[in-house]
Amino acid sequence: MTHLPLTRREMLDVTGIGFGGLAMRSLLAEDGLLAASANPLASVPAGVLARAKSVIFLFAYGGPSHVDLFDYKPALRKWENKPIPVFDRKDAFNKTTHATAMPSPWSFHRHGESGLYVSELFPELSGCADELCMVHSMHCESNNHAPALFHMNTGFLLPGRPSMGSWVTYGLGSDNQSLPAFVVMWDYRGGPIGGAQNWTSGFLPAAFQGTPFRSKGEPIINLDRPPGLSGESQRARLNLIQRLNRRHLDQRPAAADLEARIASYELAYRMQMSAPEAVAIEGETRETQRLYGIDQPISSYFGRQCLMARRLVERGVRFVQLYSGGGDQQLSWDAHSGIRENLEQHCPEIDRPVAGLIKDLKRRGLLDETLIVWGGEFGRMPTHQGTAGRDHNPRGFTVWLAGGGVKGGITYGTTDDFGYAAQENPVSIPDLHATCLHLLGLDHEALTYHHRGRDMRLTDVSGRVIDDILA
Amino acid sequence: MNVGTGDVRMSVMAWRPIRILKHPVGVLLVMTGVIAVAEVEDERPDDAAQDHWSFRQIVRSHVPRVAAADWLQTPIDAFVLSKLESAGLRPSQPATPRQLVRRISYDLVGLPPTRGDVESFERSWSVNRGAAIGQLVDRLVSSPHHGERWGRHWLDLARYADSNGFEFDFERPNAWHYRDWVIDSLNDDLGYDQFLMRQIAGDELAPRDFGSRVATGFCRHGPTVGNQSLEKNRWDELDDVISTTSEVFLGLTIGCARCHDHKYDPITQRDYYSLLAVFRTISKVDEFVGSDQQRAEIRRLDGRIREVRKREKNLKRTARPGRWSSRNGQWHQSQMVPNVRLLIGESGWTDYRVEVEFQKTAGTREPFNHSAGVQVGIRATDLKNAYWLRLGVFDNTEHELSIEVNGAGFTPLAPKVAGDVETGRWYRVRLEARGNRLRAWLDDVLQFDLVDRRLPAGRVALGNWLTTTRWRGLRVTDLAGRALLTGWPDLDRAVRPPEVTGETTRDKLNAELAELEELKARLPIAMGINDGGRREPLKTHLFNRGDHRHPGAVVEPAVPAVLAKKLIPFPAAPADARSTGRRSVLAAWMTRPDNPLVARVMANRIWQFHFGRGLVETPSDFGLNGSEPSHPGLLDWLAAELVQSGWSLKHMHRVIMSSSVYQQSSGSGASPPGRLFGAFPRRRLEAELIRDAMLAASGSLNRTMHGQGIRPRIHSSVIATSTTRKWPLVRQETAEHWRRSVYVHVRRSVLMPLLESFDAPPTTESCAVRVTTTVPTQALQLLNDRFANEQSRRMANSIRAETDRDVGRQVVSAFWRSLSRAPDAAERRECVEFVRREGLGALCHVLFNINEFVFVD
Repeated sequence: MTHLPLTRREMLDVTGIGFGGLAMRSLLAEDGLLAASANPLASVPAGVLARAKSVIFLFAYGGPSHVDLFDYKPALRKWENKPIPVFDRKDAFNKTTHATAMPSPWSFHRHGESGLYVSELFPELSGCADELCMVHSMHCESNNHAPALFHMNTGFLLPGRPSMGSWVTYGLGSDNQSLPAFVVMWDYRGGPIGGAQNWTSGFLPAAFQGTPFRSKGEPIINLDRPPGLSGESQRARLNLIQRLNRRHLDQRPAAADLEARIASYELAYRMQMSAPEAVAIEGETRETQRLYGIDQPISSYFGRQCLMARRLVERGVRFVQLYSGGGDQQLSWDAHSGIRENLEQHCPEIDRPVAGLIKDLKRRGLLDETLIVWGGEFGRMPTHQGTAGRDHNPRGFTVWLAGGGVKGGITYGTTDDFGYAAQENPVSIPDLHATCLHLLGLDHEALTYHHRGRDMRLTDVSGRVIDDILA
Repeated sequence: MNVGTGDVRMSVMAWRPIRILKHPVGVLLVMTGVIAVAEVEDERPDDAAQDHWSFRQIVRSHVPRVAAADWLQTPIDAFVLSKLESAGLRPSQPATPRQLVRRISYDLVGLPPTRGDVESFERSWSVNRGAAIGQLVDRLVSSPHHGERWGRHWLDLARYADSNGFEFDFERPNAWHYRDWVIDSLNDDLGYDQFLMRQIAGDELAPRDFGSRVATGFCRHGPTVGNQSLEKNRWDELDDVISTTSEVFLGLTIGCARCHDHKYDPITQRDYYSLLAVFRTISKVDEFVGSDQQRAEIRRLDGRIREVRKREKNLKRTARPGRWSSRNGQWHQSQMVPNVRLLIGESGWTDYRVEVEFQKTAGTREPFNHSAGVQVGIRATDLKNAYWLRLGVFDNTEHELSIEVNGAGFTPLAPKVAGDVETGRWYRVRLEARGNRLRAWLDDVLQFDLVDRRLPAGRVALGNWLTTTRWRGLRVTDLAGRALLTGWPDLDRAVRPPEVTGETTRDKLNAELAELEELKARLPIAMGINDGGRREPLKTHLFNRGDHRHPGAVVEPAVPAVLAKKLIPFPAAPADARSTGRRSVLAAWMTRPDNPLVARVMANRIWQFHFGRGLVETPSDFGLNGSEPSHPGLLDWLAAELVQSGWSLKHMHRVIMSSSVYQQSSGSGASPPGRLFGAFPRRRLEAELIRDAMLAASGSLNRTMHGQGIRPRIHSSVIATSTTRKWPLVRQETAEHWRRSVYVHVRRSVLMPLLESFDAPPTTESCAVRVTTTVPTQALQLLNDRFANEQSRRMANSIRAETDRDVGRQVVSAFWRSLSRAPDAAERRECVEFVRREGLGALCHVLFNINEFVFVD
């Protein structure tokens, strides 16, 4: 079961010198100027079996409808307006949800050599079918947005646990010290419910929490110099800071904590240059921008974010999470009142950007080392809510993965004939997490952090790597 | 802000007599009568794990013999030195008086010493070192700031916050009394036994004492889901209560035994549910504890608050006709009220373009008012449905393109763009609807270009809120440029909402609301727990695998079996009791001198807060999986001393700080201090202290104590992305914001970035040790955030105001204020030159950023 020589924690235990020692090594290697550092984000050598170096998690917030998008269920046509036998009222979130089947208003076609079914709502993404690994048998434990989001992001229904991005950066550090290791970007309509609790580092040190990047203006808060301060003046201040720091350090030789803080100022100074550069998509060719749909109003916003995501992982950022959908109901993928209106809004917003991201990563040779995960906090009912909507469905839904060491053009697991509940090879959220960690070369049972008397894990007491989808 | 203090203080005094009611053998008087905590002989099963070091009786250890006896000032020193000597090591040199005074000041009050403090300490030090330290410690533990500093340590453990957490993050308007109670209790040196008992059973021990009732808030500070009444949440909340109680007071991770017997400790699942049985009956109450007159006042205020809230909601929602007039080819709207609008044109218009110019002639000056601006609409089907270009939203900082559906608020269709609307300037707006595509220009610059399908047709709309406006140059054309309107339409033909009677303004209502809330907050409402008036406890079942849907056998209350040699009975409450009395029994057992954990755990915490690390490095886990004490003898000696002193924390501070161990220098760094305490561990200041130190240095610090939390400025985009947006937009901080950080309102969904990035706890659970991280975003915070820059400027102004124009003297003053020392000659030369080039404010900013400022030797 061991893939890594040592987990981060084990390494710390073995060396007995804590973060400082780890960081000292890697920073020395990276930057001869720095003698020592307690930088917790210093890169940790990946395990030999690591397939992916970074993750781009495309989160379709609100609960995207698997039966209209990826999980083709012709039986719904036959059962149209008839109660389906598997329906259980207890699973529904809303009172207005019926047991009667509502077939998808859209047609599905087979695509690529693999012949994967994709809805006509994704004309561009269909073209990438051979890259997609569809897990149709996902299930989760809450039919309410906030707990389900926390579940998908942290493995727990209650808020406060470290998110997957935090665990990954805790385990692997970052390959770029001038950028945050874990970046989050959200929809222009608002952040997901629960906000920062979705990218919190929980009981892990704060250095591992997600850093929100803004799509306009300074990407990180306080990145820009205060108004009226010239670059020269800032450098002059920094020079004096560091001279006084050196003098202070001279009287306290080999103090790793002081040296780490000195280094952090140089890193911050570099970040002021690197972060704007990393998100400066204006420098990309028109062809690339078009590839991501930036030229189209409907897909321009998410397209920009997907392109930024590529630029970030290209620069060594470990984990990028993008949210599509924000706010209530139809502003997110939460199609209670009308599936047609909802998906006709949201699918074109992401179709080109996501397809563009896959194609662009592939042609740059980055797809193999970048794991893309697409999914929401749950799926939707194959039955009516009201006349034209669909309710939350935690019992069965689709998440797809691409790149990063997964097999492309395959499906794994099934829901029943109606798309109601996971049937064959059900996959829990800890299973998904375990698989993602595995692809990054991390053993989900060994990646632990001692807290409140226990060695805590992202996958808590469960989780199983889905071997069948590994390339 | 300082109201209510009198009550709190009085109640602190009022607890004193209760202590004498505690009989030596554990008979406790509670409000309903006497509950006897008699001891019943009962042989407990012998367990090998019972021999774990922390479960053994505390015995005051013999002070070890050492070779270098001249180093000893207190018994503490002998314990530490003996370990050092057996490792072949020697302690570090004594710290300099200047290092000591800074260390002790930050340690006891969390503020830097002034020049006067340093110089007077140095003088008395040269006469008599021991006496100098004793006097300094005495002076500082008597300072009201001491409770603020050490209270913060306790608030970490109590996972204190002013809101519920989770997605809605509702306010807890009365939570702050607990923070003040902690501060006052520490300042008054309330015995730790009483401190503990109040927090677990204050309602049973002294139901009419406000402070005791507030103290039970300890059992309520965990996060709670507001919108769901799922049964599971109830058990999760109780789990938080018993996990936190056992970790904080007993150093036991009992929470681990919820689903199965503890993996490491001799804590069974039955122990968990027995403890649950103690707390099973509690209910959350925000109860008024005061006079009948005050009670009537609360009822009156609640009624008025409800009424004002209702009026405010209606005011915002209700569309108004405004006061329009037509002059010189312009329309003037002269009424400054919310939500003025009118519609022009034909309801059947689909694809068209509207152009108009407007000028804001006045806007509300009310700060924190997120809405005062101008809006132009297109495809308005009626007065309640339209696409609106809204200019100057979010306190006149942003523009948005929104849809309004059924008059139920505005939903942005695209990311907002930065921008404001200036008074007295003409702006040109153009809006175009073409099929599903909507575009909007401001002064011919495209602001929005998006797709939405909801509103296919409708009129043109003009509107404003809390502003007065002028309008001119209205043109409506189809997409081929043909005019749809000719000339100015007649005002009388515009569609306008009906007149609203009983006019008031939102500003007035907000002010009224704030005043009412403030009046209410002064009244003693205790956010705490009680047993809901029940004498009969609710039944507690053991849940199989921790799942409340699978209840097992009924469990009776008990303390963890491994900790009690004899069974501790939980007798039924007297017939006239209004509480089960179970928590009082638990609290009395915890504070018995023979409880092996409570005194050890607290003695270790006191040590930890002085030295940055505990003798046991897992301060909330004294179980088998926790760390072993580095100095078991010292820990027991301290624990015994704590009990013997009458549980006086101030006594413990004096004892620890008068030791040679505490007075060592922080060493060269070549040999890290480690667990042997052969040097004083150098530490970075905690988040709150960094902010407080900047305020102190700049002269801005407002030393007002107590009261409702403050809400300093937070970057508007942090507020905007916090999902709840419940934090005021502060344009300019003033003295009211510059109070100590312990008074910052703790909103779980909007933690203050400055504090959060320097490792303030996330408040989701009890925090026993703050991790110190060093990351570049902290540097960005201190380099670029407005707070650090503004305080640097204020510090420079304050220095200039008190010194002459001599730059050398200014530099000296800047050093004293920030580093509590004078610069040496080289530093002075370099800094003088820097100030001549970059200015004094720049130097102050530099000093806020350097390591010496944020580290204490």
